[in-house]
Amino acid sequence: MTHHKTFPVSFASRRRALLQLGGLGALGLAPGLSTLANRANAGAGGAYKALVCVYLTGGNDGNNMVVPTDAANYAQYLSARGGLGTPSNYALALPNAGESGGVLPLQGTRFGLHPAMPEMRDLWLRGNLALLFNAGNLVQPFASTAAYRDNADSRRVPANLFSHLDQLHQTQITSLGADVTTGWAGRLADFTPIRDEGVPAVISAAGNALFLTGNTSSPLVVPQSGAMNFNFFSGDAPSQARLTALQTLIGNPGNASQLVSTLAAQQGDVLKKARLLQSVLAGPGAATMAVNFPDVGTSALSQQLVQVALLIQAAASGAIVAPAQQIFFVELGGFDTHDTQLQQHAGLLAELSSSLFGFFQAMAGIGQADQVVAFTMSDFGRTLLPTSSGGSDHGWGTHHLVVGGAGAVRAGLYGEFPALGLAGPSDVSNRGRWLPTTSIDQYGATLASWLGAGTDAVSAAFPNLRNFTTTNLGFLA
Amino acid sequence: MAYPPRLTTQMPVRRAQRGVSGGQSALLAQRDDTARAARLWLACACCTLLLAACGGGSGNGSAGSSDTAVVANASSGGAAHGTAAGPAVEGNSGSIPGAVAPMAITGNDALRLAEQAAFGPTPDLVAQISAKGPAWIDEQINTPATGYAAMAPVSTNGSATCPPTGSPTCFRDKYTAFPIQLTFFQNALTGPDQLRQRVALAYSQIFVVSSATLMPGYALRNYQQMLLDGAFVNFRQLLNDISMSPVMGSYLNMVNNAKAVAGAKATPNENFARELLQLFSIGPILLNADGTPVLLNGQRVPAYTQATVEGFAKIFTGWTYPTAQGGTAASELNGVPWFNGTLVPVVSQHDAGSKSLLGGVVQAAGQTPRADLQAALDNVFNHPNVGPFLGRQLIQFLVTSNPSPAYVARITAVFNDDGTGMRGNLAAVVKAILLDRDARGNLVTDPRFGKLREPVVDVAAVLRALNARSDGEYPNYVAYLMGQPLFGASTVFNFYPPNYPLPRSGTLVAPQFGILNTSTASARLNFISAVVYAPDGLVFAPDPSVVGAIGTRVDLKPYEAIAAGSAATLVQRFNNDLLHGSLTSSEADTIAAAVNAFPAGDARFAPDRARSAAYVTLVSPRYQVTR
Repeated sequence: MTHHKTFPVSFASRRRALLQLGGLGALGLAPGLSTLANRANAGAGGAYKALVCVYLTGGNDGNNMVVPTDAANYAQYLSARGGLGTPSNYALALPNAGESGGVLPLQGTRFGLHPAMPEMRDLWLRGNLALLFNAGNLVQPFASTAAYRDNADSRRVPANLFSHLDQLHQTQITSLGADVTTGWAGRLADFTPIRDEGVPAVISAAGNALFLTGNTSSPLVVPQSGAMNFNFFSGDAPSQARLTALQTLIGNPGNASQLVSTLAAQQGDVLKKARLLQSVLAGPGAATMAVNFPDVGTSALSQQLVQVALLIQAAASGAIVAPAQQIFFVELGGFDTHDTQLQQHAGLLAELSSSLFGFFQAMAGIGQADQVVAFTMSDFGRTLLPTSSGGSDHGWGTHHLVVGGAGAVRAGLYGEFPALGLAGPSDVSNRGRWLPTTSIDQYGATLASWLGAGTDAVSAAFPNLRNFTTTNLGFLA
Repeated sequence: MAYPPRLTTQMPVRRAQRGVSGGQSALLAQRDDTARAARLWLACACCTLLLAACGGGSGNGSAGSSDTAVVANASSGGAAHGTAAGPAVEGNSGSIPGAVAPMAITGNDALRLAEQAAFGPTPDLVAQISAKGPAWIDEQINTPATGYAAMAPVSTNGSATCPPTGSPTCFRDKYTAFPIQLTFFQNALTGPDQLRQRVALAYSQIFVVSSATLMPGYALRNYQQMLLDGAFVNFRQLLNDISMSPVMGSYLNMVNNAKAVAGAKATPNENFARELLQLFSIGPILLNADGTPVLLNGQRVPAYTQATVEGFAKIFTGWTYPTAQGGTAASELNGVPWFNGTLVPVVSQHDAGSKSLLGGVVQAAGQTPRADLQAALDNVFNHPNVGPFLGRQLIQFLVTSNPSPAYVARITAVFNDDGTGMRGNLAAVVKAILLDRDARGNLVTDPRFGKLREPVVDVAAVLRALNARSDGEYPNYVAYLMGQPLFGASTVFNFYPPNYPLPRSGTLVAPQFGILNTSTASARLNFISAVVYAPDGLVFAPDPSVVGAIGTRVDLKPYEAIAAGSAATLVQRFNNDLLHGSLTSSEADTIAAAVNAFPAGDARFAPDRARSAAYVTLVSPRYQVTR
């Protein structure tokens, strides 16, 4: 049941915001007609939905996360990744005849997962995992690497390809250029009302992220683990006088400094949210939730996902006031594997696999597996050709994981797997940098549509989507 | 190991000074090398003539004397020097080039300079600045580093050195930044080299090496010592020191970077090459001298291409670790990891082909690793982007997040020519930033002016304001809670990017807001209550696992002494001491009301009244933003 009561911004100001994003005025905005639903607390009836972005900072090497297992393609993989005549230093082995350490075959396909990801293979067998091949930042599609080379100017190709900061930025804001400072989740959240009394639509357990910043909406950032304790003020009169003074200063920062007033707004958020969050994040349910994550003591990603799971539980059950659709952000760093990649990457993927599985279990445990989808994003993929120090360099397109209940995720393989030949039809260089065949806009729009975003919200979040024919990749129900 | 002598003739771009006759110009040019060497020698501990001592980050900055034996010794290990301040450098009281007309820096402006150039005002510091004016900056530039204690080398195998069954603090003390974090805060709170420490803190966030990548503590120590020593050297020198550091070499894979293997089985590692260009020198797009992007048909112009990155990646092939103490020199790559000294070339693994550099320059084939490296660094150093790219960031770290293009342009001009024809004089750049009319002038009324204090500086400033004594452990911990684990950014991109957008401000940026959020804003509030309400001023007890620990104590007595009297007077004292008089009258009334929740005129309540005033003042958003 959707009911629209208030909108956070006027029609005019939202229109202005969209115009800044690249002249979308012609799209016919109708902000009252199709938005993210404004329901608060859909309750246990099942209307609550959430997306969880698992950001793999540094550029995940998709080439070793998903490996072709058929003879011809594996030979091509090994030829490029083999490096220096000692394949075991760079490349993964096939699962030959009981050999351990080889890739984990994905039943019914010609592909295998990295051997450090048995939990993800388990989810594949259960029908809870979709793989998206070779997605990356694109302004427009290119039919071939030749077409890319002929058109590689900054209006058609994201600026500063292969640069971490730029491509991390572009993948979160969707290839709109260096000046845009809102992310696609934040722009989706602009379509939900801002409510002082609860939590917002966008929440991070991994610090600030432009991904979650909208024109009007801003994320709540919770600690990686534990509660936000702001309990200094007791009930006695002097203590209340200090609190009053603090609230007065924060509430009236004046307009003498934009830095001061922005800081004051952030401090005000602490005063409003801390107690509420304490009840969610430090309540008796926290330890119970953590049981789903076997490595929660050591894994920063698991710790973040515990926070997210607790917030989802509270939102979906109505324990806190929250929008009926939310987007969360967590992060696993260290994917910039320029050296000793095999060891480093195995550890990272093991953590990713274990944590994601724990999160899936946690959602199943609270009856939200079909209402919550976790998905990966990353700066870019990595070169198939190794570096001389045993790693790989910055690439472009890479593969992604989408995890959720069978009622949400249509398990399977999506997108096009690149041709692994160096300087081949997928390579924009001569070292295995894949031209993406699916854009982050298409990927994100598919997720947003499942979440319930209307066409105007999707257009605002993904302005470049109009350059692509397929606007829903179909991996979600 | 000596720095290539030919550098001296290649380093700066020399040009005739404007307004100088041809004859005088020629004379200046003749004297240039000698004069430059003398200037560097006088201005810093790491000088052109003794470059190797600083290149490895192993020298102790306090050895800023003419004791060549000591400095030379440092280059081969650097373990011999402690942190005790060395003798004052003689003859170094000269003014730094790039100075402006004489000006007084007194009253509230002295407090503002103490916030920009030091870790916040103390009565003594403000008195010094007021008495000396701009000469205080010269004096600071000439003050040698209060450095980090030398640390004994350990292997890179932390679990072997510190087995789980052994000492619980072994790993912390030998494989993390913990020891130097503590020293840093000790120096920030009380060190005499405040400006050097502030500039080195900025460098540690521009030329990032992070403890987030596991490496021995002595390596982290050497790198930060190098930045301290190099705070005011020529940027060409700093580029060399960073590139030749085995610590950076390990962090960004320059060390053991081999030439391409025949048959294209592996290619040179692009990591250091890319970040040297993108983060350490010129940035990804062409800039005007005022820091704004060059536009061509309305589009930004890339400063380099993938081919340039590959060219630089080839330049940086063929270097390995310094020879370990007692070891034998490596003839191949993969020497034993060793972080004292500077990288050494391995000719057989150096790419012998030609290399594409910036601006269409091609470095001819067949050069030595060292010749290639110096040519490439010259190429980077002379790129017109360096002045605005680096200058703008230094302004952001010291003065204001959104410098006007004119401010950036003035600093670029000093970077390009310090007034003596020298390019890249960082001492002159820092001085010009602090004495600029936008830093000293009355921009306080501009709503865009100023910056949010980053956690490390905020913590230090609060503790200095409260007369703290500290071993560094507590401030280090709270800075971490506030999102800034010192020397431990999660990536080479620092804790925050220089262009982080100030939320909902339109076009303003605010780097430090990149780590300000509900969670860290809460930590900032909690920090103030912890220090202000510490029982008997003991914020943090001495940690028995830290040698020489004294914990952290604050002292509010100067405020308690007047706190029983008028609340308005008490608030005015805080306003004068900590906010350089910027409170509005209604803000002052608000704080006074909180003070008056305890009765006046009764000495028993003086501590409570002082605490109320301190708490509300220090948590106020106005205090946390430096303007």
